[in-house]
Order: sequence, then C-alpha cells, then structure tokens
Amino acid sequence: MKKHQVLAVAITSILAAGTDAANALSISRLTPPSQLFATSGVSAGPIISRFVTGQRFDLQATVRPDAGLTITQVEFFDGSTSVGVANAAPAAGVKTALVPASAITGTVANAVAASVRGYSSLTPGVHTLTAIATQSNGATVTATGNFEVVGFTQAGRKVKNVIILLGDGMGASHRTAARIVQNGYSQGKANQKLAMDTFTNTAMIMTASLDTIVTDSAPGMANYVTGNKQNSGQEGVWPDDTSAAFDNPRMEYMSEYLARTQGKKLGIVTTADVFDATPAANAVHTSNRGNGTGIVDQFLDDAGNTNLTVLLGGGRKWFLPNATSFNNGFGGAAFNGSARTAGTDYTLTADIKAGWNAAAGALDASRDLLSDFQNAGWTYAADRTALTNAGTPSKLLGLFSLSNMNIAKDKIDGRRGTFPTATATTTIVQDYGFPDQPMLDEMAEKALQVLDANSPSGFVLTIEGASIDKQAHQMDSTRWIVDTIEFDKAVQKAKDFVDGKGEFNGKPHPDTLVLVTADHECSGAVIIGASTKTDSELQAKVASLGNSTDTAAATFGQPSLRNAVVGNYAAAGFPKYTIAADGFPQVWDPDYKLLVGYGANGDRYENFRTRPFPTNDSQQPGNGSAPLNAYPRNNVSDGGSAGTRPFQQADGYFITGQVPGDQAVHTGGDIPLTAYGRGAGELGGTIDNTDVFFALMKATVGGTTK
Amino acid sequence: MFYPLKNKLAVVVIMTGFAMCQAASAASINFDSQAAGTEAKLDPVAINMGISFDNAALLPNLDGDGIAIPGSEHWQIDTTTSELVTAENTAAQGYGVAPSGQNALDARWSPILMHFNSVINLAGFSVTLPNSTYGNLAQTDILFLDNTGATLFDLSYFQGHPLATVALTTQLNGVKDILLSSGTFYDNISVAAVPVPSALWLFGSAALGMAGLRRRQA
Repeated sequence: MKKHQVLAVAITSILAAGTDAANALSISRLTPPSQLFATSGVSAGPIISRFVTGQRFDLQATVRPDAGLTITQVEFFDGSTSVGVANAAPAAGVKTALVPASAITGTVANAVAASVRGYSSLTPGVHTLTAIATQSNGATVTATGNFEVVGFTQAGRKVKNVIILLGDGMGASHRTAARIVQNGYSQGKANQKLAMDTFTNTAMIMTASLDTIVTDSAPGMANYVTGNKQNSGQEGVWPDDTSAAFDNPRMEYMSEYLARTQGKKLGIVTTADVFDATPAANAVHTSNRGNGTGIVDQFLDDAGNTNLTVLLGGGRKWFLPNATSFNNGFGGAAFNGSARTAGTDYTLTADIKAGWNAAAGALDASRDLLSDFQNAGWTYAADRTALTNAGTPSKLLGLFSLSNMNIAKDKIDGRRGTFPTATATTTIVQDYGFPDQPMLDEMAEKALQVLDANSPSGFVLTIEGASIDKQAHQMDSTRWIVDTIEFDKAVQKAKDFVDGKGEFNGKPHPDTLVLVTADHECSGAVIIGASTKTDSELQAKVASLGNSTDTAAATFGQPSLRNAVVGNYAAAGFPKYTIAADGFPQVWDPDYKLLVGYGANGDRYENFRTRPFPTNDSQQPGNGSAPLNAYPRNNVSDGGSAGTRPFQQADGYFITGQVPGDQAVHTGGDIPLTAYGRGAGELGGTIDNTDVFFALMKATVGGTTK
Repeated sequence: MFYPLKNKLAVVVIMTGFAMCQAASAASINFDSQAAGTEAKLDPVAINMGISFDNAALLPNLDGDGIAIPGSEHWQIDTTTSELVTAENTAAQGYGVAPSGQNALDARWSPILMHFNSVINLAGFSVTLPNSTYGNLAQTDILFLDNTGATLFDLSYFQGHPLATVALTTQLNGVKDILLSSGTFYDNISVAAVPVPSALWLFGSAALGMAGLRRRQA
C-alpha cells in the first residue's frame, strides 16, 4: 500500500470512529466534576469537587444511547455502595429521576440526564463515584469519577457569626486608591490605614471558576460559599445538558448547611440589585444569573432552607407585579417599574423538590412578591428613613431602588444637594427616583443589629460593595474609588461589631469572623501616578488639547493631554484630598489628583476628570425613559451622540482597549483577602477561593484556636 | 498485743482507703435550679460533686519563651476566649424544650472540659441530648481524660438525634476530666463517681502500716 493510500485509510478510520463515537452508548458528563472522569481515568487529581461531611450535593450523569435505542436506568455508586437508581421521570417524593438531556437531544436522540438529588456522605476521604447506565437492549456503560469529603476534628471554640464583606471586583489597587484618596500619605507613609488594612491576617486568593481563569461574579461568590467550582454565570450548581436554568445539579450553600445543622440565620446586603450575581450566589441555585424573577422568588420560597432574615439592596423591579407604573417623582416619564417575566421565573421538578426540600415555584409574572414577603412576616423598608426607623424586626427587607442602587458618589452628591452640572435642576438620585437611599455602612449596621437580635445560634452575613466592579467596568475612576471608600466604612462597622466599639460600644462579639475579599479583580486597575496640574489647569488643558497629538519630534503622535498631565515617580508626589464632615472627599477633582490606569480596558476617552453623570445602567427599568435615557451610555459606542447630555469623555484623548468592546473586563490575577476575629488565623498563604469555604467551615463546625 | 494492734491499725488504714475508693456518689446535673445565662459551674449538684465546667481547646504547651512546643497539643482550658460556660434555656435558643424541663449545658460553641476537683473512678456516666435535630453531622466524641490530659476512653456518638441518651457502659478509673464535644447542649449529666485518694495519701497510709509491721517484726 502506498503512503497516500495508508493515509486515506487512516483518515477514513478516524472519521468512522468519530461517527461511531458520536452515536455510541456513552456517559458524556458525570457530576460532580472530576479530573478522573475528564481524563478518562488517566489522572485522579487535582480533586475538583470537595464537600464537608454531610454537605448535600447532586449526582448526575448525561448518557447518550446508541442510535434508535433508549436508556432505561442509571445506577450510581459511592465506592461499592449503590446510592440511587434513576429509572423514571420525576415523581413526587422521589429523589432520583431520568429526564431528557434537552440541550443535546436535537443532535443526540434520546440522550438523558440521570440524577440522584441531595446526596451526602459522612465518611471523610476521597470517594470513587461510579455511574452504570443500562440501555434498552441490555448493554451497559460505566463512568468513574471522584470527589472528596473533608472531615473536621475539634480544635476549640467555634466561630458563631461569619461576615463576608465582598468588594466586587476589588483588587489590590482598588484598595490602595481608596487609601490614598481617603487618608493620604505623608513622606511615603499612609496617614491612616483603611479599616480593611487593619485586619490581622492576609491571604492571596486564586479566583478561577470551573470553566475559565477569568471568573465572573456568580461563580466568584459561589465558590467561596459552596467550596466547589462553578461555571461562568452559574450559582450553586454545576453545568448540565438540559435547557432549563433551575434544574442543574446543586451543591449545598454554607448558609443552607449552617441553617440545617446549627440554626444560623442568613443576611444579604448589597448596593446592587438583590438578584445580582453576588447576592444570589449565597442562597439561590440557577445556571443563569440573569433569571431575576425566579431568583428573587427563591429568596422567599426557600427561606426555610437558608434562614434568610435580612435582605437589603436594590431590585424592587422584581418584587412588583408586572405592569406596575413608576415615575421618579421629579418630572420623569412614567414607565413599567416591574421586570417580572415568566421567561425569567422558575419551577422545579419533583426530584429537586424531594432532594432539597425546595418549593415548587411557579411562572407568575403577576406575583406581588413585596406583599408576599410582608405577609410572611417581613418588615419592609423602602428608603433610608424607613430603614433607620425599622428597629430590629424579626425579618427585614429593604429595597431602595428599582435595580442597582446609586453609586456612593452620587448618593453623597444627593445628600449634599450637589447637581451634576451647573445647569441641572435635579440630582442624580432624584433622576433615578430614589433620593433617600442608605449608604452601605448604614445598611450593614442595621443588618448586624437585626441579625444580632434574632440569631441565638449565630448568622452568616454577606455584604457586597457592588459598584466597585460596575464602575471599574466603566473605567469611571472616581466612582469606583468612592464606592471602595463606602465599602470600607461598612468594613469598619463589622470590625466594630467584633470589638464592641462604635455603634456596638460595650457589646463585643469575639466569636465573629470577618473576611474582606473580592470575587475577582476588575479592569486591571493600577495606580499610575497623579496629575501634575491643578484642577483649573487640567480643565484648561482638556479644552486646549483634547484628543490632539504631539508634533514635536521626541513625542510625535503621542496624546498631548496625557503627556501634559500624567506625573509618575517623583512627579506624582502624594495626592491630597480634603475629607468633608460626611466622611467623603469634599471635591472629586482636587488639584494634583490621583490618576488610575487600566490594564484590561475597553476603548475609551480619558480626560482625567470626574464624569458628571454615571454611565447609563441597562438594568434600570427606566433607562429608556426620561431623564435616564439621556444618560451617557459609554464612551465609544454612542459615537458622541448621547442624546441631550454631553458625551462625557469626548473631550479627552482616545485610548485603544486591550480587550474588545467599550467596557473594561474582569482579570484573572489573584486578589487579597484580609481576615479579622476568631478564626482569622485559619486564612493565610496563597489559596484557592474554594479553600476559603473549608477554612470557614472548619472554624464554624470544628472550632479553632487561631 | 502491740504487734497485732499495730498490724490491725495498718490494715484498717489501708482498708479505709480502699473503702473510700469504692464508695460511689451518683447524681445528675440538670442546671434547672439556676437562671438561664448563668455560669454552668454554679449548679449546686455540680458544686457538691466537685465538678466545674470550662471552655476547652486543643492547645500546645509553651516553652519558657512562650513558644508553642510542636506535638505537645492536648485538651486544656481555652485561654483564647473569655466567654463563660453557661446553662441556657434550650427552647429560647431554638433547640426545643430541655430534657430536664428548662436549662441545659450550652456546648454549641465550644468543647467543654467537665473538670473533677480530684481524680475519680467513674462507675457510670450519661448525658441526654436536646430535643433538636441541630448538631454536627459527623460522628463526634466525648473523651475521658486522665490527669495528664491523655485520653482514657473515646465515647463516640452522633448529634442531632433528639433526646438521645449517650452513656458510658464500662467503668473507667483515673478520670480527671471529661471533654464534651461542641455542637449541642447536654442535659441530665449523670455521674457515678468514686473518689480516688491522692497517690501520696495512699502511699503514706500504706507505708505507715508497713512501717508498723516491720518495727514489730524487728
């Protein structure tokens, strides 16, 4: 046989084998994920899926039958012990089920997803998971994976309360920038540390998710509080091969586990919409972080499983029945203030209900969830005044805006009565229709008071500074820096709660562990130096130089504005901001201000000055109606025609992005975590984000002397 | 007559010591006579039996410079916390009505050293768990420790079984502390203790008797 004939035969064989493989009886996915399965037994490690003793999780296998045949059953084994046989459609009270793998049945006929829901093991060690699928002709196929159960030995006193302060997108430079702006430096030393700087223990956190080195906020948060890696956009679940968003194989959240075993309560506080990824990834199981109706419904429907007691943030749009008219009360146009839709709602199959004691759910866009919360005994606060006056009710819901709350800078401007421009007649928070929004530290303080009064067995509280990320995406330096400062004031509240100081004077809570961390870094933000100009000089340079380039030989073609303004090394000196009585910078653009660069930037214009308006927030139901429809959408894609408002940065110089699009993106670098209180010594070194879960669980279940 | 008398005296001394070893005192501690939130060691039955309760931790010994000695970890009174060991109303804490009716020993947040003021021989021991499903899911242990902190016996059990009674079924000698694992409440702590005279007292009394015997023989 000649060479080309050999080659032809080989290619034919490969193609034939490939075709057979596509149609052959096989198990194409085995959950929990493992390297043992992914490498077909070649590698047993690293162990991907880990659980604490008794932590619940689902077992699932996607099985592809031979053409024309079906799968009759899938049996799962933990070691040599059979732990469930899935051989029928979901039925009431039954934790196993065999359902069509609807995401792939279009190309693989009769493919199924077989599940055992709510499994757990009390035996520490690495377990072998085996799934044996049987086809209608009696043929079988076997797949093998592994997972680990982590046991704890007692060591000492337990952590009773866990407070996780998550600065979304907050990397090391976000912290540094906030410190420079808020406290200043003298002769190379910070005049004062941020509250988060004073924590006693530090770790560096690897933030990757199950499917990528650059995570988003859903797995970024969920990995911390489940101990397991999740896919992009997914919360409390692993990926599957069905098209439904709420039926994915689940793993138990820390909140659920500690509610079940210790009676702990759960609090969630955020400056984002409460359906957003970080808050939802403490309590809700879904493969689509965008399904807001179902997410917020599950907050209430499964509150018996999570002991959710405090929920504060934005997001009223999900709680109002569809077609609820809203206007801002300051001359804005009316619009539908509800975002509830059947398409983003949830129902659960019987096996999930049985395995997780979960509510059935319903596709009910007309649901009045706000009333349902109140009828379930929740006290509702619609604004800062109501929050202040709420006392310490048994359960507290606060929804302070239709979607994401306004950014700290704009809330402060609202309180100061500062208009965004000389000709404006309404503040930004008035434009949004929520002029009386609380700051994050005020929300944190109330949450701690309510949880302390109602949690004899302790609590888990997550507090998110959400717009550090959201404004870093927009490369809006002033807004994310001020949001980081706001976040740090919430950190101080948590520290005061531990120490019995401030609002908690005389009532320390030493059995509390406080973490300050992030889900990922956002934008590749870095401190590049400081302006060499006073603000009036800067404005003059912006006006005179704009997007022009140098003509001198030495700097020919370089941005003139950049070259005229940016000072680094000794030229940067130490920027000085004056802090007002409200605790925030008196002016946003002081002379010789701090300058920030972005390593993961989108295309943008830069003029170094604070943007008068925040970028249009697509999550707001009113973003298409006056006055929000005139808010600038971004620097580039509007092409300088952003309605009635001036294109905010068009007078700056153009910077080509490192990434496609007009927003900065998350980055894959490690982020700092700082810890304070009992158990803080359990955290240190360079660790995976899932390791944090096991450190927390050791401290809350096994106890700690560190 | 002196010889027999002295000899008899020695025998009586030794027998008295032996008898004291064997005289078991049994009682049950239920914490119901005190106010919820007060120190568990104030229970009158506990006081009468010479029992106190302290937070426990697995801590190392320290050298002269205050540096932990590797490998020296053993259960001892927890010096990392100032929290008191209290009796609590279990119902008010969400753990159902206490088996004894009101209060129980609160070991939710810390292992507790149940400390005898002298080494005892333990003829019986049992505790009752609260009427609650809360508790550590994994198997946990009650440890019986000697006066060096070494474990004499490991009584394993599962928490989260409402009103279950955990009992020691064998006699243990030389017990100084009982380590109650954290994660739950303990009620109706029943102890049948046989005080053990100090080794010195035993040695002294025996030596006295033997000295009398030898003098007579000489």
